[in-house]
Amino acid sequence: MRGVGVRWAALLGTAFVLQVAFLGDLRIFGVHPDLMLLVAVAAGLIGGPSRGATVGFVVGLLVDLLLPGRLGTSALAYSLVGFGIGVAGESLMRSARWILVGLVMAGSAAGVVLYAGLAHLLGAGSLGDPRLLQIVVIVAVFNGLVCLPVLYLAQWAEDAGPATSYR
Amino acid sequence: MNPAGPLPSKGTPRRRGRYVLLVVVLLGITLVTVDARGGSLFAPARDGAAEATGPIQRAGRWLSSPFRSTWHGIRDYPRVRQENERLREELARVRGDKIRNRNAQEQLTRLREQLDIGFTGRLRTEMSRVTLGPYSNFRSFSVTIDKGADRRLKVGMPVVTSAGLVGRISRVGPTTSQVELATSPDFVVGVRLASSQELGVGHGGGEINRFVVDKGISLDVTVNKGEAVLSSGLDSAVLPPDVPIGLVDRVTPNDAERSQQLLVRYAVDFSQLDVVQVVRWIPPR
Repeated sequence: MRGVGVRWAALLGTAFVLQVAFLGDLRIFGVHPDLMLLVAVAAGLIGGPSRGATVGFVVGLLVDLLLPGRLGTSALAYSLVGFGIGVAGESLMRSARWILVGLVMAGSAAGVVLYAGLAHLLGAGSLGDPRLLQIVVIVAVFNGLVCLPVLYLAQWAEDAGPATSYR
Repeated sequence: MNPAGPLPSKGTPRRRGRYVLLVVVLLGITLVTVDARGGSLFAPARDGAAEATGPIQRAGRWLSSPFRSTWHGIRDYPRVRQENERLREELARVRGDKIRNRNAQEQLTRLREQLDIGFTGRLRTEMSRVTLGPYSNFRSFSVTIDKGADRRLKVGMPVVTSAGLVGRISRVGPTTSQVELATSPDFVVGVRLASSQELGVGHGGGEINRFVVDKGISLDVTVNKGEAVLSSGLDSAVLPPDVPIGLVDRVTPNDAERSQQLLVRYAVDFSQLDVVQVVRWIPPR
C-alpha cells in the first residue's frame, strides 16, 4: 500500500512538472492541454472510484495553488470526475481500447464543465465564457490522444506487479 | 495491446468509495469556504507554489524554445509576411510625417508642461518580469511577476508598461507577486478624459477586452473616438494621476441615466506581457 502511494506521488509530481514546464505554454487555439485532469480521470478508470476521488482531489489542489480563484474549486471538480469515471469504469462489461479512450474524453469534458460550473457558482462567471465549448473540445481531444501511456503509468502506480495490459 | 484492459477490481467496496467521496467533497467545500472568507491562511501555500513553479516554467521554456520557435515560424509565416508588408508601408508613411511630427513634438512638450502629465516621471519604479501567465484556460485576469516582498513591493502598487496601465498588485509573496489585470471586472478606477478633463469611473470589461467607463460622463460632454483616457488620481484613488488606460473606441449614450458609456481600447497588449514596471506608489487610505 505504501508503495502504491509513493508511485502515485511520483506520477503526480511528474505530471505537475510536465504541465507547468511545457503544457501550460502549449496553446492550441488559445487553450492549453490539461494533463492533471487526465491523471485524475486515469486514476478513476484504473483504481476505481475511491482512488479517482482521492487522486482527483490532490491533483485539483495542486492546480488550485496556481489559479487565482477559490482554493478547492479544481479539487472538488477533479475528485467528483475521478469518482464518476471510477463508477463508470466499474460498470463496464469489457474494456476495449476505444471504450477507454471514449471514457477518458467524456471524463475530461465533464471535468472542464464541472470546474466551469463550480467557478461560476463562486462568482468567476466561467460558464459564460464564450470559449467554453472550445476549451472542452480541445482538452477532451488532447486527453483522448495521449491517454494510453498515462493509463499505463496509472496501472503501474496502482499495481505493484508488472503492468502488461497497455504494452 | 491487449484490449482486455485493467479496469478496477469489482471487489472494491462501493460503500468505501462513497465514504471517500464524502470526505473529499467536505474537504473541498471547507477549503472553498475558508478561502472565500478572505483569510490569508492559504497565501503561504500559494506563494510557495508560485516560487516553485517559476523556475520550472522558465526551465521548460528554455528547453522547448527551439521547438516553439520552429512551430511559430511555420504557423505564423503568412501572418508575419503580411505584417512585414504593412510595416514597410507604415515606415514609409512615418518617414513622410517626420517633419510634421517635429512641430507636433514641440506642441506636445508645451502641453505636457501645462498639464503636468507625470505618468511615472516622478515616481520610482521597479522593473519586473511576468513569470507565470494566466494558467487557467478560463480568463483569470491575473499574472505573476518575479518580484515580491524582497524588493519591498506592497499590495495596491500599480503595474504599468511604457504603453500604460497593466493592473495593480493584489498579493505579495516573498519573491513573487500576483497582479490583478486592468481587464478584471473587479478592477474599478477613477478616470479622466484627456481633452475635456471630465471625470468618471470605469472598470475592466472582462471578456469584451475593453475598459468600460460607465459612470460620471454626462450626455453634454463631447467624447470623440480615439480620445485618451487616463487615471484621475483624485483623493482616495487607487492609481496615481495620468496613467494612460487607453483610447475611446465606442461611445454609447444612456438616456435613462443621462450619461455616456465609453468602451476604451486598452493601451497595453495583455497577450504580450513580458517586462513590466511596478510603480512605488501606495494608494492613500
